[in-house]
Amino acid sequence: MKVLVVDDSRVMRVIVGRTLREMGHDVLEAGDGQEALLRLQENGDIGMAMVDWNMPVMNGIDFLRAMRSDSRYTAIQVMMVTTETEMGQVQLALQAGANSYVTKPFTPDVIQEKLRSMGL
Amino acid sequence: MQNETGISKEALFSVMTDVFDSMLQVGIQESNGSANGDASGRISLASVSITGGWSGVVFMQCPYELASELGQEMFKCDAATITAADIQDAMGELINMVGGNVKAQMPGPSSLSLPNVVQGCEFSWKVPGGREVQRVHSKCKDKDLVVLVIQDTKQ
Repeated sequence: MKVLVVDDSRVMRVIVGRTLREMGHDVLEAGDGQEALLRLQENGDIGMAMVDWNMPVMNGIDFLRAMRSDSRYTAIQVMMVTTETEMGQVQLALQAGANSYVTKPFTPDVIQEKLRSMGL
Repeated sequence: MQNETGISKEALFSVMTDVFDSMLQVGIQESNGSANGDASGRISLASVSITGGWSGVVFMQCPYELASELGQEMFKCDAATITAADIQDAMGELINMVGGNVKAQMPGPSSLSLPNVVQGCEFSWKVPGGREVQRVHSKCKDKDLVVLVIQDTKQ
């Protein structure tokens, strides 16, 4: 599966991307929500997006809302990967259309288990 | 012991160990030291601000040499290939995770800023209206690592 990793931190894109590649997935990267929307337009076969919350230009929740408002992207699974741990934030992300939520810090095992629980 | 910040020294150390264990598989030990620079005196200082139910700044400071080693662990590269930008990025992500988990233990709701990272020698910093309310000294890879929490007293 082609997975889009959206995070303003290059090291997080590298770490998450490494875990995904070990699971056999193809990885695309974006440094903010606006860049992520461009990646979606350029690549019609993205099956999943792993999205940070706090990013410059366009944050993760605004990206999620923009993505979910576009019928072309309704089938894409979204996992929020963020330091935002408040229950209100988690609920906000789920209401905006996230399918799963992982808080930082995490181990690669946590990401892999979450993906498997989503059937990926 | 819990103090008025809402986060105890033990809880702050627990946040640090959780971040370093999970992301780096690197242990840290509490110490009584200070965050001196490396042999050249260079220091890496990362910070993130919290605004809302509790407002303040969380800092993490260490010798530049340690910041480089942490960056190498995260990027899975060596000293010859890691760049200054990579080291800043790694320190920024580490303080993002430490600050985010500190925020979770403070009164909310609140928001977390994007991280700032400064690297250099003989610099000083000040948070206007800020008061240090918690600090943990530790050792990581036998080098000093300090995390401190500054509360915005204008609240």
